[in-house]
Amino acid sequence: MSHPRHLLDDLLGHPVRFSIMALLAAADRAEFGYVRDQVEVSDSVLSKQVSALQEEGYLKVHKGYVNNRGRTWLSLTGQGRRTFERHMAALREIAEGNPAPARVHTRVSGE
Amino acid sequence: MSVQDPSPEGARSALIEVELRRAAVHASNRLFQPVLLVLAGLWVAGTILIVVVPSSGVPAWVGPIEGFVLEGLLGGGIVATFLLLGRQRAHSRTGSVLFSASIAAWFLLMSGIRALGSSAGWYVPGDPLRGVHFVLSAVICVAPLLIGALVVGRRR
Repeated sequence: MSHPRHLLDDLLGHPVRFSIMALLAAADRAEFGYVRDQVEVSDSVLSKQVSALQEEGYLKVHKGYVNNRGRTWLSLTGQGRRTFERHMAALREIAEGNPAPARVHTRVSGE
Repeated sequence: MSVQDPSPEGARSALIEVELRRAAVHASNRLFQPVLLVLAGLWVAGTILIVVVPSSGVPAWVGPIEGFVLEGLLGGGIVATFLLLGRQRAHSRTGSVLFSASIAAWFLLMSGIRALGSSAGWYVPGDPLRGVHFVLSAVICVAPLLIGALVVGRRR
């Protein structure tokens, strides 16, 4: 592999999926409605993209109750964080205009 | 629609978006701040109440009032904490660690001061002079909550 684009994750090439991952990468966990509002998509679009990311093992869905109201929380899995970090490393290389092989950052963090 | 081969400009836009998302999550951490402040305020208020309301030589009806007010403060604090935390829609790992660490430090400091105060003999509510120590102890105890609130509020 000579170009960092080979390290880009295919699933994260979709803008909405990338936005969801970018938001969850910064969060320990986030409520479904919060992600919907931040990413500015409808419930159905978010559900579809969340399912795609969940099937790939990138994120987890937690159901719970707060003040007797049902809530859905989303969070990244370890695999999701690693994939996102790798994707980000490739993007940094491309942004720098560096065609050399991308460095893979393996730091896994909630920040 | 997908972007499998972004240009350097496209990649830079994606990196900027990640920073904006991170800032949004950190902004939502700020709800930890009022929770910590409410806990600190209620703890000090409850302590002052214990000191200023005489525990002996008062009409029988005063006793239950003291108890009810104190229970109301503590119960209200717990309910307020859960209500505020329930409104939190997202938080970062740093935010939750700071919050938990502030609560843990509060409990540790409280235990330490209580042990020290009991062995020294000045941790006795009811006595006017020692009551000042009691309130001062409570103020010192809530320092981690106040520091935590300050750090969470300032962090971007």
